[in-house]
Amino acid sequence: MPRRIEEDHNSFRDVVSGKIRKALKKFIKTGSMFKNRGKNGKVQISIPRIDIPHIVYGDNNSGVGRGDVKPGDVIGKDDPKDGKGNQAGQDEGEGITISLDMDELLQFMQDELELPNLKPREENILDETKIKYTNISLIGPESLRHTRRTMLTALKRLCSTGEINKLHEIPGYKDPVKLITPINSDKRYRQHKEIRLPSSNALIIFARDGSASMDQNKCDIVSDMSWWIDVWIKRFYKRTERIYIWHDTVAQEVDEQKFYRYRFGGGTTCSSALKLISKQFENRFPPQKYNIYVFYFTDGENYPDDNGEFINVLKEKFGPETVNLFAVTQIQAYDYRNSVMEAVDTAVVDNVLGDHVKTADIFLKTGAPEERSDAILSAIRQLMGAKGAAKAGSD
Amino acid sequence: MSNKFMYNSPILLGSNTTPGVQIPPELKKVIPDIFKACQEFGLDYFPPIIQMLTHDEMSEVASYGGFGVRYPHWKWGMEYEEMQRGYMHGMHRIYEMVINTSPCFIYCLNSNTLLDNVTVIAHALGHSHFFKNNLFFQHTNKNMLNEFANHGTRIRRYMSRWGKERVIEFIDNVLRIETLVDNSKAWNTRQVKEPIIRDHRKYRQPRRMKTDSTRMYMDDWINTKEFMEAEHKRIEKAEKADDLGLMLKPEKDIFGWIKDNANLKPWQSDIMAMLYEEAMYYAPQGMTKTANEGFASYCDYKLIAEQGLCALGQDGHDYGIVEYAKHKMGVLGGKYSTNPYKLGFCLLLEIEERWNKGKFGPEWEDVSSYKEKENWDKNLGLGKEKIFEVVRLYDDVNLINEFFDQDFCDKYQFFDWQKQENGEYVVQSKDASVIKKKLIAKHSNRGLPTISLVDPNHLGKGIMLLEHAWNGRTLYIPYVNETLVSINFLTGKPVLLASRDKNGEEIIFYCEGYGDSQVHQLTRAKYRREFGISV
Repeated sequence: MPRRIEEDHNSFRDVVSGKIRKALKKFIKTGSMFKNRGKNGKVQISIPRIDIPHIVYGDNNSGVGRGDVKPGDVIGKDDPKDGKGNQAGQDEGEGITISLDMDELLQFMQDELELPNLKPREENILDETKIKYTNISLIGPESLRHTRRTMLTALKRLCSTGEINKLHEIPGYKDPVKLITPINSDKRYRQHKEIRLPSSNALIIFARDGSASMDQNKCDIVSDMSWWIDVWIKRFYKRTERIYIWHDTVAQEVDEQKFYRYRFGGGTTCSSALKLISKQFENRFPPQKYNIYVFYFTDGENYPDDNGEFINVLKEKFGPETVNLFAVTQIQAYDYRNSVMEAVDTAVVDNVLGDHVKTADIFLKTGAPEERSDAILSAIRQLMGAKGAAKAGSD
Repeated sequence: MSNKFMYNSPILLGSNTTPGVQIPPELKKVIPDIFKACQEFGLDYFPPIIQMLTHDEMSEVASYGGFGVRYPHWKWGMEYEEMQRGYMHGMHRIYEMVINTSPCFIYCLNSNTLLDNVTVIAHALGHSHFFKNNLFFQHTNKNMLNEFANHGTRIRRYMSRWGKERVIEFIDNVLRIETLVDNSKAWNTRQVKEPIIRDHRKYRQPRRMKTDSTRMYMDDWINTKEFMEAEHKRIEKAEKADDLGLMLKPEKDIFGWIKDNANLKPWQSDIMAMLYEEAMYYAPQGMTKTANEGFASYCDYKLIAEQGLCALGQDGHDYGIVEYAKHKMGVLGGKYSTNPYKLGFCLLLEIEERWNKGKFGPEWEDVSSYKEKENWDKNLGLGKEKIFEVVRLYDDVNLINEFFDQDFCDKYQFFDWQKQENGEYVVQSKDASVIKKKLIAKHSNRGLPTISLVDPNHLGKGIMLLEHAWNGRTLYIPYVNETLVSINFLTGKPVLLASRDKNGEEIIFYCEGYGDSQVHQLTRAKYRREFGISV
């Protein structure tokens, strides 16, 4: 019989998880999620203290103690900056900090942003073999002996021959007892079986414009966005690989650190990045083996002649049979007209490019943290969301 | 004693097996000896039932407040989790629990040592004596175990009829105003609410002095014309106030007022009545915590240490005293502990010493020389008698008010500290009157702020006006907000609470509706503007 307290304990756990949901909403909305990137797959979230509120006194600035002291003695000290101590915290920031798995957070994010699950392209589902010990065989090493099966077979044999009723004298026992003794032919062994499981690889390519106009602020937005995109895609694929491409007039592959920080004055030729990426598909990452997600970040400035070239390369080398998603994010563009995003949008509307090419625009007026995280989240929703949601987001 | 039939039954002698675990034989052997020693000491308790529990069961019982069956609510689960966590980290453990019922249930932890359990039983019988004899527990229901179980059944039924979440939301709101009761009403006998009759009228009689029937001629002199006129006026005023629905004096019992007057559905009123009863049941325990715990500690100290019960079931007659001292230290804290239980224990010891030596009365107060005071001993031996008198008649506030004086304060080295601007805690004084004031403030109204309902129909707009009797300490604002929201939920009216901040400036909390952001803080000027009051 379950104990009575368990029911109440479970409902308390429900209350706690309700509070966690609320805190998560706040966590995602206020942008602290971008500051507090999970460590070791865990995310720290603080929830308000759970208690039944009554009208009580707040401050505790004096009291009674006992001890061998004289008036004027100092018996203890609070750090006045700390604000905790005996102040009992007049604001609601005080609470319990709990750590959540990244998975839970992502699940919550999926519900909140209404993101669909990512699906690998069908031709890219590979078979992977895995060994499981599910079979039984008559021969095998002793270390894999299946004792229960062996005893069961022995019992069956004894029952069928009627030997089961035979009594045996055993030294140390007063009365003779019935015995089940397996012989060699009773022995059963575990045997492995190969199971073929579908599996898939993903390749995430981050590319960004590295011209002088991409300042630190824009780079931070790129960093925040790409981190969450990375976590998100990892959730659906067993193995993911990333490459980082950086370009001004010439593109080059860089490491992660460099990608987020590196700045260099110079012109902008967006198509150079695409050409470099498409070269990778030939030998290093064949599109038949990888589900490829390309994220391209720009501030919209490009040599005007290059936009046409950009669309051409996009059309030829980045078809839906090659990449799962090609996402263009435009950050703080001075003007939508003549920008990269406009060129791509027009091409999508004219059916030059397929549905797998998506665009998002981040434009901050004030730069407040709430606005910033809202903009980033809606950009993620536009890029990764279902078709309907993307439309709703861009309106 | 209503449970006479239980005497000499095996259950009283500890041979019960459910729930919990079997009582170990060495404890079972000594239980009659403990009972005998307690009776000889003069304890008068309810018939006890001793139960051994494992730690898990103990946590369960303790989180239900000592009662096996309560209404379903997550707050029990919260306490259970806290207790389990505390035990896991080795921070605290509950040695015993005893409840104010007849028969009285004593729960012992099965991982206790034999001496621990002997101590626990003596201690619990002390509590039971207090419950049975103290004035403040006179009107508590001694059959509360069944009552609580009935409440559980009724609330479960409402949950299945009206939906669990709905009922829990209601209970959550009621529990927030749980502390807004008038503790003195614990004496009131329960009344069934009168049915509302449309032209029902309360008749008031003028007060008059009694005159003997043979001396009627004296009546004009005793009940003078002026006196009678004043009486009639008073009645007229009260009746007018009744007609208009005015409140003549502030009501401290806000919970009770809402229970009787709010516009609630029948199931809601029933739940409120049940929770009110539970709150009132616990009120005397809040009022006598220090005295009660002090007396129980005094009992086990007297029995175990002085009468040598610590050697019960041990190998030698002087075994166990060190272990007992250790146990006691863990419960009451060390030399300089400010544990309220320690305060009660020390006060009772002091009372015993004074009445044993005759250190009371005008004769003693006239003594001025220090040396004479030191050697004062009249060998009266009245200590124990006085202690039992205190147990009968006193609550915490009275106990401290009467017996906490400069001598006691010096002997136990009390001091008064204050927190400075720079975060330092500085000792202010060792003056007994200052310290006493603080201790009394800490114990009166169970250490909670005094809130009273001044006007349920403020300005004729149906606003509930509450007032906080400010004494220099401020309220904890987030909780005030949530409590006001709950009062709004229960009464359906806007709520005003007048209080002051730490500088003495007036602040008025104004709750407009049911919701998190519905409470605002107003100054007096803003309040006047908002409610259209001209100066």
